[in-house]
Amino acid sequence: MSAEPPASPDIAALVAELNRRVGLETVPTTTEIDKSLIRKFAIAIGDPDPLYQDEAYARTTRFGGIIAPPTFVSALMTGHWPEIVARGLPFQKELHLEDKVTLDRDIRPGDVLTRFARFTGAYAKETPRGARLYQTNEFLVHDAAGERVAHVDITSVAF
Amino acid sequence: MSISRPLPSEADPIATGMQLPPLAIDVTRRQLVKFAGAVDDYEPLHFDHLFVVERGYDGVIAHGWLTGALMCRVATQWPPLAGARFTSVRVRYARPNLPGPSTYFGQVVHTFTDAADRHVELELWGENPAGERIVEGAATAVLEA
Repeated sequence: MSAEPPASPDIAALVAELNRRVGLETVPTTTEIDKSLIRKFAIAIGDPDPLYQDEAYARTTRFGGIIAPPTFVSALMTGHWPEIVARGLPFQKELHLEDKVTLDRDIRPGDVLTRFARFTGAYAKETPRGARLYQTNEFLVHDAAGERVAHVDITSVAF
Repeated sequence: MSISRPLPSEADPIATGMQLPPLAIDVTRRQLVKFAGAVDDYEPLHFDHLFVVERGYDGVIAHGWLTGALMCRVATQWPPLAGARFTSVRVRYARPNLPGPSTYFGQVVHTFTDAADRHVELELWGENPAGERIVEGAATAVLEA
């Protein structure tokens, strides 16, 4: 018998069960991005930069036209995250913990973007306040030519 | 007047260790609803007080992504980064962001110029009125040299 006590068997079994979801993907959705979507997002985050709203101004910048703010990728997640996260776990609370976003190029009006989320893993940590169960997912955005536009690694925690 | 001392306009506007101007934002419940609409995310945790209280929270909390977006505004609104392309953003949610005052900060942690571009790496974070971190992260931006 090992000198170290095993991790809580329920948690270990839960992690093993969740890891059978690895590779599970949401059904891709496709949206044509338009100026009003970008404008609505910029207003919601209170960013007054005319680069996100004023085509005449944006043409004078190095971008040559309206682009979306760097965090606009969050407006594309409906139906993918948190839907990909396993819910109904035996914990009181579930929280969004971290996002790591890689932006391959700017998002612009007229882009036809297809995206989906993929379950990438689960792990547990014991803390003085009890077990915490982490789930990791990735969110991928591609354009109509199949080129990757953005990638997000998302971690959530249940405790 | 000495001409050897560079005028502010001649000094490098981006240098390692430089603090960005903090951004004080009063996050309102109205803003949570606007953000829910803008990103098409109607999770009740962000606007339905009775729903969240029944689940053990004190009240509605901001969407993680909204908090992250507010934090990133410190960088995107910094004049020396006008015209910069943001290539990565990292956001870690440290504490629930409750409606009310919050302040966001940034600092240049590294900057270098290669053959074509100026690269800027920033540390970003946000605090609640108690001075506790609600969010922390980083961003990288590229400026044409």
